[in-house]
Amino acid sequence: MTNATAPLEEPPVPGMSSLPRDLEPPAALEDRVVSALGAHALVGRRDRTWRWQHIAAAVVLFALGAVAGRLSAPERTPATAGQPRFLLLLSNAPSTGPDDERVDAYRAWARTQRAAGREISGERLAPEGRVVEPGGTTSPERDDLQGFFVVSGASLDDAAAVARSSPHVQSGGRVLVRAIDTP
Amino acid sequence: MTPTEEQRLLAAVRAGEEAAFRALYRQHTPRLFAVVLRLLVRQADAEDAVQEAWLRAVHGLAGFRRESSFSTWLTGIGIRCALEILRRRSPPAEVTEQVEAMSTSTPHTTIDLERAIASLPDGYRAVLLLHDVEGYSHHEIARMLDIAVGTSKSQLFDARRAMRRLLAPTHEGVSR
Repeated sequence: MTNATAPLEEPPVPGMSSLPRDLEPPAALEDRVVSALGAHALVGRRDRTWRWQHIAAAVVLFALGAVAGRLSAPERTPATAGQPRFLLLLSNAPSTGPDDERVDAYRAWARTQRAAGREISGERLAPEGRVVEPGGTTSPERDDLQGFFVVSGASLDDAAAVARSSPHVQSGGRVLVRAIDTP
Repeated sequence: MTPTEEQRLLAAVRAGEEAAFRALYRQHTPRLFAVVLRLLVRQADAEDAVQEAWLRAVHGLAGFRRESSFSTWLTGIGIRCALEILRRRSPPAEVTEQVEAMSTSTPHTTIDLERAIASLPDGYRAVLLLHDVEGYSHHEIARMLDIAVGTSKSQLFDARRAMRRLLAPTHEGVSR
């Protein structure tokens, strides 16, 4: 009871029952939900005949691409040809040391993405690095980059949904998602 | 959509067919989105709740006993997801975000109502929406929110009063 003089019942506010029952969700949400379901292998029957991308090959491609100023494209597959690709830069994970369980979790997640028909490759980064600028080469003062993935997706929101489903984000890490600008 | 068509669609979704899921999604998500957006106010949180609700629903389709309609079942899951987000988030969302997410065709008086609902403290808003809009009983609300039945009743009382204050013509927070 709010106070001694208040009435026992406060009548409903007029108009509440006539509030719209439906509200159109953002269009991108549908792909995001489908992507999440696909990541859990709950929906998504697609062509799974394309070959798996090997992580070692991705590292070489990434290194070569970095030298050239752009990321080399892994071989496209029938299921993903023409789809935009996105770079997922992983940072801020609570633990950065060797951890077999975490590596297994990332691999399992990547396998699930592939099983859902998504192109994905990636690699873990070693802690040391160099910053190369016109004035010279230095060691970064603070570089918390821990790894990367390249994934195919329908849109930036779709790629963000993939990132959100990753063990990296689930364990408290941060993922920067950027679209790869393909001419 | 007839019950037979929906059953066929649900069976196809259980079999993992993406096209069937998309059809089911388009049929039921506007209702689900409206409920969770009103509860959570913040659109990004509402989208998370929708995604989580569909994940749980599709994962648990085998357990759907048809004791209620699929829409009611899904909405119940969505409400639970939204309440989980509500419990762990802070600070409260900005009121304008939810109102901006509404259709531009929404009548002005309804926007005032939505804005006033969004202005309520989380606890008041949840009880008010679940009781006055979704039609749950105080016992059901108490179970969902993990509060006493008496608390649900008193929060509804206070929420309705707060709504009347917010909707009063002189209140700047609603009429802006």
